[in-house]
Amino acid sequence: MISQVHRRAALLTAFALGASAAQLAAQEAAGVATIEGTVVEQGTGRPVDLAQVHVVGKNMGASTNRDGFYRITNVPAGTVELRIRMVGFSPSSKTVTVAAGGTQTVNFNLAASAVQLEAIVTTGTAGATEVKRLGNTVATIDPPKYAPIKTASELLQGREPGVVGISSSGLAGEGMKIRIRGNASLTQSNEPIIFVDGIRINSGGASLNNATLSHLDDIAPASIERVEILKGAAAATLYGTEASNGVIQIFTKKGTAGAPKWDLNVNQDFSSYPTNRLDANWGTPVRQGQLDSLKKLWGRNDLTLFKPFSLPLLEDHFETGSAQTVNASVTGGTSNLNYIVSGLYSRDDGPFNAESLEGLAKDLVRRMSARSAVSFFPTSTVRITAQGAYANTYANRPEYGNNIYSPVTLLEFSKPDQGECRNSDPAGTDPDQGVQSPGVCKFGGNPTGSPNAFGTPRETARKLNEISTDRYISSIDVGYTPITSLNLTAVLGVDYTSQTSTHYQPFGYNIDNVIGQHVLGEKGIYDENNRQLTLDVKANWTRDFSSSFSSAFVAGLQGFLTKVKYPGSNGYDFPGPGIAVTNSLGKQFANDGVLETVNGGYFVQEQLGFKRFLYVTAGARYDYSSAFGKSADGVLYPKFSVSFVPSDIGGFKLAGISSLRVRGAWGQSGRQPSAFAKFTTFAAQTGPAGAGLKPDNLGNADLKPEVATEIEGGLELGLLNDRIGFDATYWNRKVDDLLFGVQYPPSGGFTNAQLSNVGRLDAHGLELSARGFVIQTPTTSLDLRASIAFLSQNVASLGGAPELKTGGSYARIRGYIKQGYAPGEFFGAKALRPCSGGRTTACLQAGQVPYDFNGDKKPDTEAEALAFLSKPRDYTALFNGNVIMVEDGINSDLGKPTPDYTGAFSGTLTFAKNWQMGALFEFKGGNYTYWCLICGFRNASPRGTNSKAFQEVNATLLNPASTPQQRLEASKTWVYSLASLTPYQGLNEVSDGDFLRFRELNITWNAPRSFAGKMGARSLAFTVSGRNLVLWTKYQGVDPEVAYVGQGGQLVQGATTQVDENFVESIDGFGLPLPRRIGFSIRLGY
Amino acid sequence: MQTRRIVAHVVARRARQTMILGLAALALAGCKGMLDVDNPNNVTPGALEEPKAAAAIVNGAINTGANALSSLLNAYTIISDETFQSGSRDDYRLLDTGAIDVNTNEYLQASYLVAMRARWMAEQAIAQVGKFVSDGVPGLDKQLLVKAYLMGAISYDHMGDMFDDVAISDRMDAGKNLGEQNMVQVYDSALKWLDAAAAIATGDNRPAVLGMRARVRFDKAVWQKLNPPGTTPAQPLVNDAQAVADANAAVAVMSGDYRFDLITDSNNSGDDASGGVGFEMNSRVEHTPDSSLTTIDPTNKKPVAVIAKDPVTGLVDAAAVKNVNRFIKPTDLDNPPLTVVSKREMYLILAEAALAAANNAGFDTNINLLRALDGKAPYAGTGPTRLQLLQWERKVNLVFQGRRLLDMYRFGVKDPRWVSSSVTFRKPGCLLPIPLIEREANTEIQGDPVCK
Repeated sequence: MISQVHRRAALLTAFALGASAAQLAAQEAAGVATIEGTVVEQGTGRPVDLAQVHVVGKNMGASTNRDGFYRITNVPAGTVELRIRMVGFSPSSKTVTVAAGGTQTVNFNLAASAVQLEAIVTTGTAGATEVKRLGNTVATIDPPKYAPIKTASELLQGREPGVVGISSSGLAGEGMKIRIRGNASLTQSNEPIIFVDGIRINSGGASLNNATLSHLDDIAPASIERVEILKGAAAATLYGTEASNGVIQIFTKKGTAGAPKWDLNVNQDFSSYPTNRLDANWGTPVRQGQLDSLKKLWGRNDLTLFKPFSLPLLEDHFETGSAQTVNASVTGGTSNLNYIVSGLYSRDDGPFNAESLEGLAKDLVRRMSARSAVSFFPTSTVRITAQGAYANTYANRPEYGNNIYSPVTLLEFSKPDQGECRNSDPAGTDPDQGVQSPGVCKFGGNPTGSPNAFGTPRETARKLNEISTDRYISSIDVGYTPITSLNLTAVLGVDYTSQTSTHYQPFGYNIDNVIGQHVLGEKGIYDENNRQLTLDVKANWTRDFSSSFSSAFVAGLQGFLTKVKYPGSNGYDFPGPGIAVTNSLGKQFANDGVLETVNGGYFVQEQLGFKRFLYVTAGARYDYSSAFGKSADGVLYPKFSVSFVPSDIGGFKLAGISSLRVRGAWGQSGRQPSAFAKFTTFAAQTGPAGAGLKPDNLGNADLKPEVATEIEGGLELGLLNDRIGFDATYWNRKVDDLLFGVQYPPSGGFTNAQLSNVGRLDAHGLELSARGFVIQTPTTSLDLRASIAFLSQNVASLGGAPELKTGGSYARIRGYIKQGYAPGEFFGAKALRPCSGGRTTACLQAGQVPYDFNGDKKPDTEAEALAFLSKPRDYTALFNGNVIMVEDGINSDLGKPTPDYTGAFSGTLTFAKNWQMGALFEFKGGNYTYWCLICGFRNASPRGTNSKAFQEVNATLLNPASTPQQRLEASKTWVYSLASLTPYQGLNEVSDGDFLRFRELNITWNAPRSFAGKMGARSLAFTVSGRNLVLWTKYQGVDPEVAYVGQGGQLVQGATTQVDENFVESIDGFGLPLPRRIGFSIRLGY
Repeated sequence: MQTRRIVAHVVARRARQTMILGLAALALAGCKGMLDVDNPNNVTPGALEEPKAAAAIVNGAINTGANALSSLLNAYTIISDETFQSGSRDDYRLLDTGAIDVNTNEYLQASYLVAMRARWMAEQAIAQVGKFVSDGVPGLDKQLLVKAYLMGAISYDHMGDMFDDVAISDRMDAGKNLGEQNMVQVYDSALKWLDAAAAIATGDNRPAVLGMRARVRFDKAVWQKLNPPGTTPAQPLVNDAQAVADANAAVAVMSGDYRFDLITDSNNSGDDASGGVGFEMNSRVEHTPDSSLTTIDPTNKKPVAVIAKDPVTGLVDAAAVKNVNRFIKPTDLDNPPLTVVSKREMYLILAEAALAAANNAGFDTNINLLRALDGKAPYAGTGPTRLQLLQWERKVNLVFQGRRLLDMYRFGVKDPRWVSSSVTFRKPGCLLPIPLIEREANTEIQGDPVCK
């Protein structure tokens, strides 16, 4: 076998030598040469992989391989300048003279740099520009090679100060919301707009019965080369309307010239929920007959009257999740044409074991995608890049989230003391009482004691939600450089999403005869066809006026055309089992809608440079939008910025400081209202009477975009030859002409809030980051990073409009948009507490209790309370309007949902030459999380009340053996820890949301080349990784990162506002906790 | 080299000029036209001025009216002793305990919104179709106007029966609240429209209009007995001559077991905080019929069988079986028929008027005509008193129609689920308040509610 390999290698070598000789002769004849060499990291001597070596002024270059080797062929003979730029390293250039037909070796020693002033960025700059020329921030994320990242959203999480990925929950594939510098709008989308290689993409979400997917996650993370982020209006002005929440541009990997290079990455993950944070289901037998029955049902002879017992009913349906991911790519080509083709397959079967409930639903997401990019250089002045990507996503989910028909919710609410198998023993004569085995009924029943007619967990597990998405993104990017100083580019692209969401529950799915909702079956099919067209044309003209002054002038136009069609059909009542098409339903309904928006604008920008250390930029964009009709005027968004780089002044010397830049930027961008918000409209109101109309949108002829004005200033500081770097940015944003849903009198007939330009939303923040290459030796290196972002937001004015509650009229969500407070601030009840700690008013005097049992509207004395509690009481005796609240009733300020600070710290350690370890910790703090969509039920509502704390309190209240004093203590525990929901909305309902999470860990062994070669591979690496490994928090619920709903979960097509979508970040609504994930991967290169 | 620089300069200048001209041309010629996008999802107000839209306008009023009644019953039914909270939604619990004065209750707010939309749409239909009629639009069916009047009357009647106070606004123009002492005006508005409708109503519309007018006159009289709220009236019975006249006229044109129902389906129920009263009661089972009406499955809290017994015979009451099952076991569980006017109610109006006038024979005649609809044995003055029988027959014949609370108030009945501190317990006659969402949005609203 070995000899065969050797023979094959010898043959290949001989062939290569022959080919090389022929190539040299051809090169000499053509007057061109070859440049090759290696690129290594200064200090460690390690080869630098994927560094781009570029021939200045030519469309020529190559990237290094795993050994740091590069080769550029067909370089015109003569003197050329080679330049290397790579994120994380200082740029380097060398001038070399090559002779026709020759091969010149040029090696580079790149210094790792914690300051990236020379890095090239293109987003928001209208052309490739060095970071140091810009007065505003353009953050760059370089995907960490071995980190446990399965989605593009995870790539954005915790890597850049001010950029926050809001996890939604632990269901497989749940979509993440992205926020940059908080909320720049109250009613319009707070998501940044997202581009992929210059094409604006559909970055919304798909949602069905509260299980969500993010369309951003259709982009395979392995295909991403880097991400650029504009954090706000000061940087995003050239994107105009819709850019006030920032812009994210994803650059995908492009082909590299050379022989085909194959890369294969196979990954196996295992996931599990952290059960230590889940309270089991508690119950208390209070009658002898009930006790006897429960002993039979649960096989528990240890149960006794008035003694709470527990069962892990939700945890019983957890399993070890399993996910497989395979990434493959091939790249190659010549100096005139290169290509890359890549593919992804992933399947994630999450740790919620829905199948164990005998239902249809699973916790499963599968993604497949393929992508290709071909770059063609027909002449030295023309570049054409064509890209195409296809992605297919399939998700199979149970009912989920804030949804009483979710098996997760019903398991959380189940009361084991209410369990029974009555439907298995209708005659009441079975000696086993219909019990087959502990917790399992012979036929039907409600063994878990889930609340009344909402169904049993296994009934609701028969509700199936499927989302299937086909996505095609295609673009063509043409560049023409007629002369060195002038660059013309045009990008045309389309992102088409065809999505079908299907809800299905079969005929007779009420197998336990408990659920009452559409028991003859139900089906709904909802399509969404989303087409987004992008046209971007610009010209970039750069030149040096003199040795001191340079100019970069850009002008162009951009247009985005979006059309969404969303037809669907649904209904209920199948004629019998087995039929599962909507046209067989007894009640059938159809729905349809079209939403078309057009945004476009043109922009100009001039950047003047002075002696390469001072840069002044001024620019503007003039925008039109279909939201205002074709007769409306456009909107002008100006910008201005200054960048001063003292360290680039000749002779700069300041002890220890190797780089220093000071910058400032001012700019505007906006958010337009939804497509038809300006117009008074009547919508269809069909019904049994026939086709009809009803009032819909009140209309506002004066509607215009809200305009964010942002100023930011900051500095970058490099120390010790940029081995240590600091970055600080302060920003301040005011959003004027704030689009707010003004509620006009509902008695006027138009009951929907009308978007109006009122008020102002203020925000400011500070972003700090530091990076240091602490150790750099040939065997060991350590790279540490830390960042923190502070955020303060205030609804400065609502122009006299009434406050707006988030979550509509839904009583339990207690967030409000209220003048003088942070958006989404929580308000609710507070119980009177004893006067102490300086509290002298609105408090209890000594000997008083926070109850009014005698109805005199005053706090009772302990003696009065003891008299009331002298006999057993059910907790409802405490509930019925007896708690004394502070004067504000249910309007006390309970804190805000948006964190004051967010941040992360991470490190990468390379040791023993071939080993690498990376870790990332993320934290948030200063916010509160509303968790009583769960706690209210588990602690207070008659439909739940199954927490350990509640059961102990209620058992004490009910137990005839309890003393009045014991009942009084239990009643105090009730009011100060458990009481909630109407009429005490807000009481005990918010919890400290601070947390620190061990987000990522990876340990990689890079096999020596000799070892990889034995497998016929050019590279080989093994990685063990972990995600969400440990959580430190005081939060009372299962997970402070669980949000009410994921990306796009509350979006309604055509709706004028997205308030509920925007402000549910800190509302915990029955979501499963984020799972721990352990992964093993093999990376092979050929 | 010099030549190259000159060429480069010329090329650059030309390229720049071309670029700017091209951009300007594209921007001016192309973009503006593209901004005129299509909106097939809804229509602008001008569409309602077309006579061809008359049917759509009236249908809109009927469908929104049905939607409103479904939502109102959702909030209202649980307050009375007809149902109790069995589900998870805690604001229903608040209503169940009688705390109906909390103006932030999500079901109060939600039902108020759709009720106000239905009220406005009905008045829009009356105005617009009335204009078409007065303009003499050829071929226009005048019965569309009758239906518009009817929906206006239904909307106003429900406001009077269910709310302590309301405001009447028009689009952005805030209107003043009527004031609790002036709420009787809503019945007068309803009667004005019904008078106009009666003059032109034909066919199926005639019994509905006459019956509705009898109902509104009766409801107005009940309102006058219960206002100002706070006490149980000493003489709870209504004897309104005009109501009696209308009831007699209605009975004359009502065939069989006539009912005028509003119907919902998934298109016109459930755009508020709930899925409509049918969904909430029969599918989701947030409320369950009282155990005096039905047996209840302890596992799922669903009603099993009607057990309410006729006080005359001691047998299960056939009227209760028919009327309760009609609501809780309809063909479409989510959308039971919502009865607004019925022949049964006409008999009840006539019987009560007779009883109030001490005309026992008249009472017996009408109550037995009612009982005969279900084949129940005639009442001959034995067993329950006539007042007890009247209350019973109203309870089982008007069940889930939004009448029970006012009957409980005027006959001094308290729901055992009302807590003693609740406004329903303390102040008979108190109804739902103007919700906070209206108070905050409407600067014209004056005064605080009496019921608190």
